[in-house]
Amino acid sequence: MASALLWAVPLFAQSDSIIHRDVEAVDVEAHRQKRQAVPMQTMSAVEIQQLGVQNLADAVRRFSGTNVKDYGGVGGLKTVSVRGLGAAHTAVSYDGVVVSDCQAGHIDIGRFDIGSIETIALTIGQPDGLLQSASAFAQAAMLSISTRKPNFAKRQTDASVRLKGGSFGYFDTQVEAARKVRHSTLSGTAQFMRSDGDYRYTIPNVDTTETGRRDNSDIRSARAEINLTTADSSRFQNHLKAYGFYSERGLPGSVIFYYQQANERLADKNFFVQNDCRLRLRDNLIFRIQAKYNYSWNRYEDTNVKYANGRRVDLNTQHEGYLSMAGLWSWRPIDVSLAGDVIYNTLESNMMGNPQPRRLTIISALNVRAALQRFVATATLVARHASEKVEFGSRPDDLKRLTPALSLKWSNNRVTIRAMAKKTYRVPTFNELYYTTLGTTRLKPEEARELNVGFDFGTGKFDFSADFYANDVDNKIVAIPTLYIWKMANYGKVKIWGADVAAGTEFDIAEVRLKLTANYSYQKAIDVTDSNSKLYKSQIPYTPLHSGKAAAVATFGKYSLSATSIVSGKRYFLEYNIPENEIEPYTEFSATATRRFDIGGSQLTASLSCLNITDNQYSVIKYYPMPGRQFQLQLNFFL
Amino acid sequence: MKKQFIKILSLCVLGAATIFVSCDKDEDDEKPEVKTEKRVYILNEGSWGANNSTLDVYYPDGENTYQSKIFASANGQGLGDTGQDLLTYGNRIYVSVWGSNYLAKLDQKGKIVEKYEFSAEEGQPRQLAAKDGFIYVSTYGSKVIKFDTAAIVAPKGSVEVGPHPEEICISGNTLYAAIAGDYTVAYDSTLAVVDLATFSLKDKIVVGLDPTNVVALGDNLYVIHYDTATWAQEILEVNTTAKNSTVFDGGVKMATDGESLYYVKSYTDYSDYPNTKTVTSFAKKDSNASPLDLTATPELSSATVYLFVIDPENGDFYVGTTDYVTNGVIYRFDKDGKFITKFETSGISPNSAAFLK
Repeated sequence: MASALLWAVPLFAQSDSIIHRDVEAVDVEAHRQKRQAVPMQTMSAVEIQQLGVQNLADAVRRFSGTNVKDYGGVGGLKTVSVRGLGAAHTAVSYDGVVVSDCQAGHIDIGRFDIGSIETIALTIGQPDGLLQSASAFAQAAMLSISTRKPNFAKRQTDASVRLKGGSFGYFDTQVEAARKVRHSTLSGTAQFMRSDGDYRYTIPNVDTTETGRRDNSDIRSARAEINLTTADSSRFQNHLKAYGFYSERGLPGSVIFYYQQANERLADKNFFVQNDCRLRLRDNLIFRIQAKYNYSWNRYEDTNVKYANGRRVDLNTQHEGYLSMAGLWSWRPIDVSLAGDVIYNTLESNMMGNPQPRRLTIISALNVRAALQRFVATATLVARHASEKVEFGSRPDDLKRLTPALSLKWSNNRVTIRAMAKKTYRVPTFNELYYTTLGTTRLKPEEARELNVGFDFGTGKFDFSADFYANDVDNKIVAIPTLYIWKMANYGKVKIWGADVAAGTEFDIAEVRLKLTANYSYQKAIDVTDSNSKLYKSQIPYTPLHSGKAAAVATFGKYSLSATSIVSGKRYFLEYNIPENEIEPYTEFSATATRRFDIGGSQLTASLSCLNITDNQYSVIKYYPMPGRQFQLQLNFFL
Repeated sequence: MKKQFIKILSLCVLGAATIFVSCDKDEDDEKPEVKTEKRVYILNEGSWGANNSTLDVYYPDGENTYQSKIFASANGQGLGDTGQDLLTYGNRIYVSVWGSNYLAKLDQKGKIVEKYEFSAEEGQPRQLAAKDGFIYVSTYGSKVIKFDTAAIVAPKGSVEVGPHPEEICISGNTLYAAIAGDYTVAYDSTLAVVDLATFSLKDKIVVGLDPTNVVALGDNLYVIHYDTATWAQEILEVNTTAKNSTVFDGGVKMATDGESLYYVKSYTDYSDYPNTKTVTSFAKKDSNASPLDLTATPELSSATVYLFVIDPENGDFYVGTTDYVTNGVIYRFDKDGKFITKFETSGISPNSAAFLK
């Protein structure tokens, strides 16, 4: 029994803590990062605070194998692509339920608040737990965000207040309160954030430099969440969440030499309500039902004399209905899970030529796992059917695809050896299909194949892991020009291979606990679309061959001190690999000091961070400069 | 104690960090002078948002035939974003830079003599034309703006012509502007007719949806417009007295030597999209033979032509191609259509060429 349940434990254990109370303590906590059949990396709330991590993108870029496209500043778009596959291949889940954006395809991870996160986990390939929605198995990688759960160790009420302030007019405050009543917990969160984002930049221009301040880079956002969790013995657990988000920001655009006219504004509204329910019907049978309704709205506005009436306003509204049912049966040594998702998406837009598309997607996933002593094998089959309706014009063909995945693992107390092969694809986004003149409904899905072999070695004091991978992307969806008209097409082929190596150690010197971690990634991602092209075998844009991260944390009593660095080798910002198209390598250093104060039974932590200490003027996306040196003070009060 | 740990920490982090940071590449300081023999200046548009527009010079008569990025060499800074149009007038070079929003007067070495930055109301600059000591610029503020070549630091007048004016041309004392229209709302389909004596809008001639190019030849105008349903481009012959137009052929670029109209025809077969097939050919109006002999350059018959210019002095043809990603290639043919040479430019999408002697 224990083994069956162990496999059912999802990547982040909180929401399973009731059903799997027996296994959680031993397995999940101790081996959260290790012993998986696929590469998995996590970061906890404690690490986030100790390392002075600014936002979710800043956390994810510290993982190996990731490529975070960051357009700079608090409000700049931030998307995560894993191992060269492109952002739309990474699913993001928020408290267990997958977040989607059928219009853009990628998720702006800058939107999620880092302060309420308890754990972030990035899995490449298959999720390790079997009791997941079918959507979770249908993606090449998954970024799972789980928010903090209230702590009722001392009393039936839990509350916390957070204040953050920093350079460039950054201010952020959040209040959380929770109350426990018998088997249920009701909690609420309210957050407000603002930033001017008017940081200085310096960009070389031949023999001179262009200097300026980011203009129209301000953002304000507000968020509220209500959670109701109910757990009745080990048989039933339910998590109901309502989430509301609003933001209004300026889009500073790329730095254009000699002229800055930045008038673009973007407002976003997002509301969802989701329910995640687990039922243990018998000792060897668990069900999980997830349901969600999501509303998202955005308004893009640009003011420029080139538009009729001097203004352009795009309005987009998306609705999503989502239902997922999954069951896990266990007959030792075989576990079987079956999941089925039904998803309905709509887009309403005022943009010229938008046919108001509606999409119905049905995904099923079958998993079979065999655990024989130290050896575990999992086979997965995902079937997807998608069909679209439009008000006018053409629509894409119905889509029916079957994709397999296989993972193998051998482990003992110290060593895990793993191998994984997976095929996935992503469905074209509404923008790719229908965007004015650019979109085309003839698109096929973009396919991704992943192969990974790797191992972990861990003694508790010293951990080491190495993974080697070979991926390829086929039928890549790109905008290509035909004469003077650009349209989306399934044109590209990309081959990617690389290695992610990570090491960590933790030891004491006198009363000081020292934790050192470092990782290095090598990634070759080349365009193999056309052997007659000048671009054949060129490294794809924004993909450094070498990158690495290092962090050191020293804790002594109530103090902790950290230093981190992020290093990226040269990249190209355009497809053609010539020196003019290079982006310089960069290194960013940050340091954070934290002190804990115990006030009665309550706790206050204060952190002071200096980010980008050397004031390095670099950019991730060419001509979207990143902020220079900045300071941040954070106060967290826990009742 | 505490200090020691900070030291250890920073050493570890620094050590790990420096491994990947490579040394800076060395700068090449050689900046040869622009020579005074006959020159062809070539403007590379670059890619939008990448500040990579460049200006090159080609010497058609000399030995050392090409110099790259002369604007950057002369000014110590780049042209900026999206060089839009280029012309030479009275021993000066005029360049409009759309993204970076300015009009510059350059000396023969490419050094800025004067520069005008357009206001938000005037809008960003597009195409250029010159006559009688004045430079005219179409702007996305629905205007054509007039500058005195003696001093371009302030405009000498402006006239409202319609949304998104593109190419402008001058015939006699009249300026014609192709009005493409704001694509986010509706395409336009007119030519604006501006009287240069009074610098006022005199008339509008309806031609065809989304007109982008206009050239004058004799009493007629020739206009390229998009058929927005199929995205094919065709050439219209416009009779300015009768104010009507007729389609005479498909075409994507035009040029004239003052006697005949030469044009580039490109057709794309989309039936097996995205495996498209584009066929490009060259034509002379009222002639059945191709004006250019492509036997030495068969790649041109499937290329996307971005620049098509005739040397007004000797009738040589310059054909520039783009793939929007790699540096452009210019093909030169003599007036009889015989291939002379081809060369790579210093940037993406060469879009205009202008001559000086």
